[in-house]
Amino acid sequence: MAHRYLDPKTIGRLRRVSVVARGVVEGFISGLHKSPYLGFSTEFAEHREYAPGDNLRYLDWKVVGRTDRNYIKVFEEETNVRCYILLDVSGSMGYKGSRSDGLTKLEYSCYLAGALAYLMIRQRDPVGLVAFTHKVEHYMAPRSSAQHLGLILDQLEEVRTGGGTGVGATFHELAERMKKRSLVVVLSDLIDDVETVHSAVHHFRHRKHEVVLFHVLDPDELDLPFGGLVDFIDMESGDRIQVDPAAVRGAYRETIDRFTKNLRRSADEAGAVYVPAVTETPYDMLLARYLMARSRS
Amino acid sequence: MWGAELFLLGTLTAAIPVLIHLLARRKSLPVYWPALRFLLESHRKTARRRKIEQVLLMLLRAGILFLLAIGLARPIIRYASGALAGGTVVIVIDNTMSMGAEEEARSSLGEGLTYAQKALDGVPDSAFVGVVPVVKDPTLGLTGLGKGVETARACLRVVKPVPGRASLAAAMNEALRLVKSMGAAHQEVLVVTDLQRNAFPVQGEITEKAPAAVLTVVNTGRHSPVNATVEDISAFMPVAAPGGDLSVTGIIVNTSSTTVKTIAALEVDGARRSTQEVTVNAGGRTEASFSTRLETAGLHLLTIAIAKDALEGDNVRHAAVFVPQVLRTLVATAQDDPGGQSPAFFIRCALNPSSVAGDSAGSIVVDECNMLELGVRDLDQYAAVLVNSDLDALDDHAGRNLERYLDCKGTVVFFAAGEPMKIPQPDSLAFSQSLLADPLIRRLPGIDMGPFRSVRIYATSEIPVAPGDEVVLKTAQQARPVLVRKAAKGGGEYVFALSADPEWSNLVLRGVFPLLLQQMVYSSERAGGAVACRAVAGENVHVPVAAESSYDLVAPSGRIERMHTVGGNLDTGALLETGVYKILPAGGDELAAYVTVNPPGPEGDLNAIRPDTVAERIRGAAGSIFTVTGESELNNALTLSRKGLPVYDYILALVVAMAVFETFFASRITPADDRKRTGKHVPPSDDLKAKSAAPLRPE
Repeated sequence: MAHRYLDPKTIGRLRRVSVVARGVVEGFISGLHKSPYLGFSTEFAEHREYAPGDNLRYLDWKVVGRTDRNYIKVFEEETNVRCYILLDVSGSMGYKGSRSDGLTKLEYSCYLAGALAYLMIRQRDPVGLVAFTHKVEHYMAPRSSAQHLGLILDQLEEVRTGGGTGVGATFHELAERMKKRSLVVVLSDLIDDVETVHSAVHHFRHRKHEVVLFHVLDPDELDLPFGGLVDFIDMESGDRIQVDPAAVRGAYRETIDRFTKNLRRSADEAGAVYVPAVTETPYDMLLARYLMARSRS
Repeated sequence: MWGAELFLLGTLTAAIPVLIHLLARRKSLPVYWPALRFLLESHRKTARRRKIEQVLLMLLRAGILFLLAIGLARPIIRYASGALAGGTVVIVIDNTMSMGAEEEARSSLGEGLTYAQKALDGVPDSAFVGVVPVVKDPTLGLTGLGKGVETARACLRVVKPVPGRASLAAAMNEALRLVKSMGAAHQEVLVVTDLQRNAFPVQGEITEKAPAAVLTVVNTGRHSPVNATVEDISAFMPVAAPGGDLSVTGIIVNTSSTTVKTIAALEVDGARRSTQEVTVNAGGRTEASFSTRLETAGLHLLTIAIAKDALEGDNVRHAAVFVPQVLRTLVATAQDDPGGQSPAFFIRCALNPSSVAGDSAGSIVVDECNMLELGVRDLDQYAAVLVNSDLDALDDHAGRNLERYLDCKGTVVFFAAGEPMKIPQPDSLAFSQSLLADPLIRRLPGIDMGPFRSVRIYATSEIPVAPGDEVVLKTAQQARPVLVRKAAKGGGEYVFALSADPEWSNLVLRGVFPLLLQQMVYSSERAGGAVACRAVAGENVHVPVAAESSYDLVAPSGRIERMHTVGGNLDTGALLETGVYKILPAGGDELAAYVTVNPPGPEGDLNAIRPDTVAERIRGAAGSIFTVTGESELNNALTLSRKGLPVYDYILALVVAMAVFETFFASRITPADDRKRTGKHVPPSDDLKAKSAAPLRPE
């Protein structure tokens, strides 16, 4: 079954790229992520003296023959990363500018989410999906089965925008709910107070989660390209304001620039990764660049 | 002061940006926007600044329009009126005929007078102002420098082109002398002229120097208008008598740079006699010859005129011819002269002393006949009849003839009566000398001989003096009367005691007798004609008239001025009108003299000289010299000379600077690439539509 948000071409482009958690995460399915827990894997780490209960399969017979003592081969285990994709479905994500290839911010985010989910599940990492506004609208617990990918993609197709953004309360609630270390991928325009976002991200980090903030913005939001007199209507609250964009453009750009910078600084301070995602950049390219950079670091 | 007040109406356009600002309602585009909080923040932050910028932009645009209108109205700020207040301004106005040259119904003089009046606009009443016309015109009533501008304005209002000899150099010298004489802080000479090449002063003609003065030459000349002029007129009448043929020739000169075709006409006493077409090449001349006949005696005015052209004043030239009654003198004798010389011989010698042969000369013809032949003569042709006979001895036939002759057209009837008396030569000389030495004799040329009708010369030195007779002359030694005026019909009778004997002809021809005889004959000529004079317009003429008396000077226009003779001459004063002036005895109608007055000559080629040539020719005459053409340049020169500031240049420069700044400012507020709408809004969902329909929240 073909899914809207999982384009085969994109899959092909991302095939060689895998999500590698920057930090050490705990996992129970062998994967590409290094784990602090030693286990029985293929990559030798050290010998240790046999203890009752150890699997005799890993007994190093060569050492036993040489030393007449029982030593067990210990392998460094590659753990799985648990990934939560937090998708903002608030009203503001419904904006679509003329330069975004016909995609709303939400659709763009969905594409990102679909691709990420595919990558994670392909390397057998469990992926969950959380759609949120000012509250959690939908929650799918992480799974790593191929079937789960289908469920995620189906869910992505069903999400609709609506309601206001409330990053703070939602993220705090999710941080509490995630028990294990996870990779938290946030796809949102983050229209909220920077302090609130910082607090929420900090909460995730406190719980040892790795946080990646994809700050999804339409190019229009960055440069306010309108001419003439414009009656701006807030997509979340319905508030109106009549503005001559040309007159406020400078100040607006400064404001939005300061906002994004503050967000980046806040993310850095919190130990999160901030990724600006402007919808005029093809999402696959964005994702590929990000993953390549991530794998290099 | 404004150079073009009409543009001040343009200041109203300054209201346009304000009206647009107040009235324009722009249509707004609804856009559903994700991040209104940032917009709100920006809006609030920039609201005050934007308001100020918009108002500034509006004021800037209004200011540009306002200042543009002000600049086009050419304002001039005078900030040195104090100097002008006590200053001296002299206007030299070229009122020569060439200034009357018209083009498109505007004359150079009219234009120049307008400029002169405008030049007086900024002159305060405390300044001294004078007007110096190039051609003296008594009708202007100028009295040199006067305080205030009104007199000068009144004078300028009546200036007109005047024929007459003109010297722009003399007028400029006078003006410079006037401004210099006052020694004011501000000295200004304004010369309004058509800059004729031939009339403008050459180097060295301006002898007055006024280093502190500002000399502004205003050029009102027309460039090469089609113009021809009648330069001269001459008349020739081979037989100066009524019915004689007359040839009149006019010289037509083309003063322009193109060929002129015109019609030349001959007028006699105001009536057109004949015309002919004349073609004159550029700068050339040709003759227009006419032939006509003058039927009557007396004064005739001849005029050659060409068709009206750019300069009307030089299209006419006058000449006057006087056709005399032929002054024939008839000497009738009753008998042959015993001396072998007829009385006619002596009469001829007396009338023409320089004639050795005794031939008649000029218009005086002396005929001789027997008394009995008088009846067959046409005595209308004779001005004088001299009868050498004793009237008492005449027979009836001759006497009746004589009575008829007394009514003849001539004015003198001359009698020689009695037998010739022999006077010894020494005595005769003594007598002659005594007459010449007699102071009374000196009065003789001044005697009014006009009214007398007859003179008797007796062959005796004794003249019987009857009661009522007036002894005019007496001998000094013996107090014998030699000239007695007797009351008679027609004004009186003079009796002159003298012999006509040919033996004493030396006495007759060298003594008082020829003088008396000439006086009588020539006064007869005057009685039937007049003294002819010619003059150029503007000249004074001294007309020799016979008597110390009053005369009426009748101008061509009919204006009559009474004058008095001084020393036998009549000073006419400046004759300004062209045509024929008549001089009549006061209250009388008998023409004593006439003066033909013509324009001074061709008015040049009407082409103005180059301005740099002007400056070169009058270099050094004043501290500063401007040569201007047109009102704009004049205003600039006046402003500079009066230490004013022509601010319009600065204003227009400011307007340009403001326009540049406006472009920059407007682009800063609204960059050019922002003026096109590039953003598109998201089609709102039903939910959003419902929300957007909600009432607006206050910002």
